[in-house]
Amino acid sequence: MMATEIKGIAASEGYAIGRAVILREEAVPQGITYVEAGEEAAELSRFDTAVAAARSELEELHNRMITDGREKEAEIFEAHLMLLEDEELIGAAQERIRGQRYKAEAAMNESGEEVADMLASLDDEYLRERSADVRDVSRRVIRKLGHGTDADSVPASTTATHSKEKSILFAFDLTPSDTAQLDPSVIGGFVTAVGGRTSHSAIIARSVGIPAIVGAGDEALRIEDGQLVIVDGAAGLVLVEPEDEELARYQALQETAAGQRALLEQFRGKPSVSADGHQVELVANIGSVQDAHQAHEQGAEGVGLFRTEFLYMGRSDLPTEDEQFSAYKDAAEVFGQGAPIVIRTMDIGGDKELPSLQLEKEDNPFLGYRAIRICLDRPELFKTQLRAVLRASAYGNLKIMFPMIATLGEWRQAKALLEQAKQELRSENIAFNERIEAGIMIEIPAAAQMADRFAREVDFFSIGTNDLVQYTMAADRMNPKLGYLSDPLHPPVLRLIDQVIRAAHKENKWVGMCGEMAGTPIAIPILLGMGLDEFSMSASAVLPARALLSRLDREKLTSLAEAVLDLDDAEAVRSYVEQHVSELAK
Amino acid sequence: MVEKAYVVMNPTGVHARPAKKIVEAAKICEGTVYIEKGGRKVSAKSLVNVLSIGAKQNDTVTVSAEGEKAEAAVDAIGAVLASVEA
Repeated sequence: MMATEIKGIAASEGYAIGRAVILREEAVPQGITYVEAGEEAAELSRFDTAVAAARSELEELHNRMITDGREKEAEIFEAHLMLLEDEELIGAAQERIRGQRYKAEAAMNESGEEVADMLASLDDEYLRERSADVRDVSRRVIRKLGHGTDADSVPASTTATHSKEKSILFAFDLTPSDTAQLDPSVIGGFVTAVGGRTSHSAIIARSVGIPAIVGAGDEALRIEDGQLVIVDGAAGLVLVEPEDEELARYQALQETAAGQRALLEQFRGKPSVSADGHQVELVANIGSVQDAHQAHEQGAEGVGLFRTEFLYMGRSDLPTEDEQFSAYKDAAEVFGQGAPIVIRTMDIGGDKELPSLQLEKEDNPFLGYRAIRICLDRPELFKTQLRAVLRASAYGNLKIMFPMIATLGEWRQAKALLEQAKQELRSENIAFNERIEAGIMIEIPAAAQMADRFAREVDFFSIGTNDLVQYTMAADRMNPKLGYLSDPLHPPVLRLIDQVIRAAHKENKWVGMCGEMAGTPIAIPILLGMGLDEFSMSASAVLPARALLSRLDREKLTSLAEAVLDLDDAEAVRSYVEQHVSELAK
Repeated sequence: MVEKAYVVMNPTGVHARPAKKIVEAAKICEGTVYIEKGGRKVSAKSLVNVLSIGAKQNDTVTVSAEGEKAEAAVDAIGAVLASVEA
């Protein structure tokens, strides 16, 4: 039999090999059925017994999640318990039995659908998602009335059949309670016909760490129970009944991935130290509190860049001071006291539009009215954010950073507004960190050139390489034809970086980098050699960077960092580093 | 009957956690407890209903109750609505 391939959306990375288990939709009783007159009371008590059974099952699931430390999953079941007491859901079903002589199954089904449809029609994404929970709860009660499998479908169908091998779950969609119960020791991966990368099941898959493919279409449901399948979570590919060669190839991939993971795991929770004992900070770039959780899980020591503009985007009004305060405070609390959290004030404009500000269209938005330029022009807007950051600074080691600074005057104006905000809070008796650090992003060559002057006044620098490269090379980073210019390894960019680090260290200030470059293996040896103090990157790059760092000798890299400044172009720098840093080959 | 109006203070509006607390508070009263926003009046004893009014920060919400401990239930709901904590 030839192997078939099914393509879907890669929702959670990794490789899984196992036997297919199909989760068939349970047959929900169709239409309305009635009981004889006089049997209402008996039917009602049959219904109440089923609800009670569903409750004790949910309580048990809830307790199990708490014991396992799976808080997110526990919360799902807590909400389900609450729904099980809801008069609109359960009360309405009871009323249908009592008043209209419905059979219990039909009553539960109709009430569940009514409530789920009502929630699904609301103009609120959060509430729409809850309709899946309502259906889930109503199905659980119907199961308890003696329909479908008695226990939860996931463990029942998997543990029973193929106990030695892991199972790969195939389903139209997974209910919230199905996903919450996915046990990585039994389920190797899953494939659903519908869903996207941000669906509930995809998020849980990533947090549990099992490969998953969603949105694979109806083909995913034509698999037969027990067929051998491979899930390639990186490519979003399912291979059904693979040839021996394919199987061997994936087994090898699986082993390598497992080996790498185990290797990286050793670096979780460890300080970021080079082979010769030089310590730096490895932190993450985030855009939301959810990102903060992920970054914390992935081993970041803090946040080097909180892109606050995401709080402003995708809405028609501006975020209030309280709203921003909660987001900054929550992010700080994820990492705990002492962990550095650098909040960058909003960087709107350029490629990020904002309907609520009604910005005019520009010919050159990247060279236009954006970031600090807007903030200094509209201080009332800026003040709201500054007050929010200051208030949150009472709850963690927050630092404030201004983007797109070109002149000393801009920095001083921003600093003065920060002082004003502090003064306001003082007079209102609101707590904040009086010694909060304030720094600037170095992303405009003008600021890099004046780094020595800035260094006397700021508390820190963070180099934003994405913009620094495009402004230094005069190459739009969105234009694919200019890819050869959009490379941070070009010596003119490296020279600016080197200059900025030297200027800061001369004034005993620290320097970070929050562009993509900071997490790139080829760039890390150069930056370490130049003496960069803080590396901020996407969360998934943190552990690999820490592993690489542990094999690098900072002392020996200083000459490499000097040598690359004299090379012709990025290509030459790349091959020079590859040649001289043998650790990169490992 | 007891009836009082409140402004929602929670930045995220009446979402899961506050809604749950409102239902718990409503159950203090033996009789009927209603929550109303923008002409939509629903029983405050149902999580689904409380969620469905979609109350956001700065929205005005009216709470009414009738029966034993009506006052206590309304005040307890008011405390949830006026709280900034999630």
